[in-house]
Amino acid sequence: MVIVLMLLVLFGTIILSVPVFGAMGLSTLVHWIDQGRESILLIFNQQTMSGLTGFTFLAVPMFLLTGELMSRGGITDRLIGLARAFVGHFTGGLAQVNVLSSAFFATISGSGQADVAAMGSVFIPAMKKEGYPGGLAGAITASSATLSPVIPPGVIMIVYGALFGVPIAAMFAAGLTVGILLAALYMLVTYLVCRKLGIPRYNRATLRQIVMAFKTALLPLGLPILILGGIVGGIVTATEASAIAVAYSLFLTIVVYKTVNLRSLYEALRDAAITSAGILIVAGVAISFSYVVARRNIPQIVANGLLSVTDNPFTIMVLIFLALFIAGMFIGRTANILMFGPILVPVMVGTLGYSPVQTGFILITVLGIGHMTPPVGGTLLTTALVGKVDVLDITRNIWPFIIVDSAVTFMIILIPPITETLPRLLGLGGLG
Amino acid sequence: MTAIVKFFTTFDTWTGRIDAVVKVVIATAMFVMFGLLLLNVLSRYVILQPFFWLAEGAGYMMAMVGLFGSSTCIRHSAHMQVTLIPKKLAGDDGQAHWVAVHAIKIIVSLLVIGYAYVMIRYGYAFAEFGRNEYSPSGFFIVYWPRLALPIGGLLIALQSVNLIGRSVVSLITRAAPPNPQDEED
Repeated sequence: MVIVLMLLVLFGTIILSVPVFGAMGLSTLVHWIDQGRESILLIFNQQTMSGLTGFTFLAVPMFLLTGELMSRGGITDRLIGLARAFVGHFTGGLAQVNVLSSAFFATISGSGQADVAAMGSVFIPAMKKEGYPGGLAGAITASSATLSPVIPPGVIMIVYGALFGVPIAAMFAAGLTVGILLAALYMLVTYLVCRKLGIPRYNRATLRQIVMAFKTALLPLGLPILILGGIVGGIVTATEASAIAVAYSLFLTIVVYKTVNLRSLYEALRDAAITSAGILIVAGVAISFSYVVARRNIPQIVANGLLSVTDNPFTIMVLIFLALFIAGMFIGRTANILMFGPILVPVMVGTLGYSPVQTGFILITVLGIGHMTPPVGGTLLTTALVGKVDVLDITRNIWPFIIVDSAVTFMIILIPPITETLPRLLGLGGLG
Repeated sequence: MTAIVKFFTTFDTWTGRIDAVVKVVIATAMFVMFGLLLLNVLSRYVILQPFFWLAEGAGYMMAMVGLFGSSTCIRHSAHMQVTLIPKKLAGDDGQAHWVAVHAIKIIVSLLVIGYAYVMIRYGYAFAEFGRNEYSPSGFFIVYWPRLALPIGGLLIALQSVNLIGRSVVSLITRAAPPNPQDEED
């Protein structure tokens, strides 16, 4: 009864538009009302504080700050130039550049929203000018923005790893495989769609142009190498790497390129702090939510409930897929992971036998599909807003990408080596 | 009615000023957090003498960013939330829907204030428990960083009251409320 009431309060308040941190906090109060002890409220605050001061979580604001600095420092143009030199001559050249630029941008930003904001405002008008239908330009931008969370240093991978004790290095290593797979498939779909529409391509870049583009983007590209090399190589922790990333981006944008001044540095700090606050407060309250979920034995109850419907693990996964897909349409991945993770991760790891890394990527990719699905997917709506394109136009063009995302998710569910090979080869853990 | 409008408009201006200060505080905390983490890296890998309090201090800065920054997110509707119902209702020009939108906003703000109350009262009690308690590194008295909980709760409650005020003003005047401070931002 208490659990039903908790879930009713959680979903009821969320639907009413209460911020997720408030909704989670209010639902934990049901446990306090049931127990009737004031000390529980002290424990909630203690749990929240411990979540807000966790060492691993420190990587979240630092990577967000890195993204802010790099965006303000004009790094985006350098990455676009490199992507154009590499894939501009493919069918649908500019669209391919869009996808590859998003993949490059993901390695320095870690946030899908930042990707839409940075790429959408550049690519959608440019693509429309070159004769691409607005809806297609929006669809390609929206779907390639969903690469950010799965490519290191995706903030959501850090949140998942920090909350469930999964090594961030293992998440990043698995993210490399999933990110490259998704980017390649997006480029393939873009190629097929553009070929059908007869959309032009750029001339092939000369070797000299490629070398020039590479030289221009060399220093920004040093950042992901620094981050990945440091973390996956086991030299530094994710949090330490994030501080080094900020130092590197400060050096690049203030000293080398001189594109960030004192005022824009303050703005970057302020905006990164506000974005971080939105994530951190949910992460903090999620720790007290997890405490109640564990105390109430909710994962076991959910597992028993699912097993009473069917004992086929794949059918259970399909049910979880559908639930998360719907949830992903309404709210961002990070909030969903923090809300449903404490309930679903123990079920998926403990009862269904998936590894923690694989579980993480199942959750992240399913939620990503919801986020780009009409009519209310967050990425979809943001893209429409940024690119000034009608949502319906994007909707008509985004289906091939949603199908690709769904296929990749089912591949992750059915083929564990996709997410587990690299972490296993590098001995990074997170495999159960 | 005019007095109520005037009161909430003034309240909006003042909470806007508080919000401007909070933004400077969290931006500074963000910079200090980075500085401490960088020193932590240098102390560990360059001088080979790690200081645990550096990471601890960075964690406390993060708590400050999270808790104080939440009030800014409340003011600027930057929190993660599902705004489907208010948006759906706002799309209609009918008066009943218009009233419903503001009614929902007021209820939502009241619920947030309810949770902020728990943060203020029990967060303070939690901080009080740490009045003579040192952090694991022995460098900080945990009372001070824990105070971020009640202060953050208070700031969240203030900005939520302001949102209620904006809705009340909108309901009375049937116009978007004036918000001079936000224009300055």
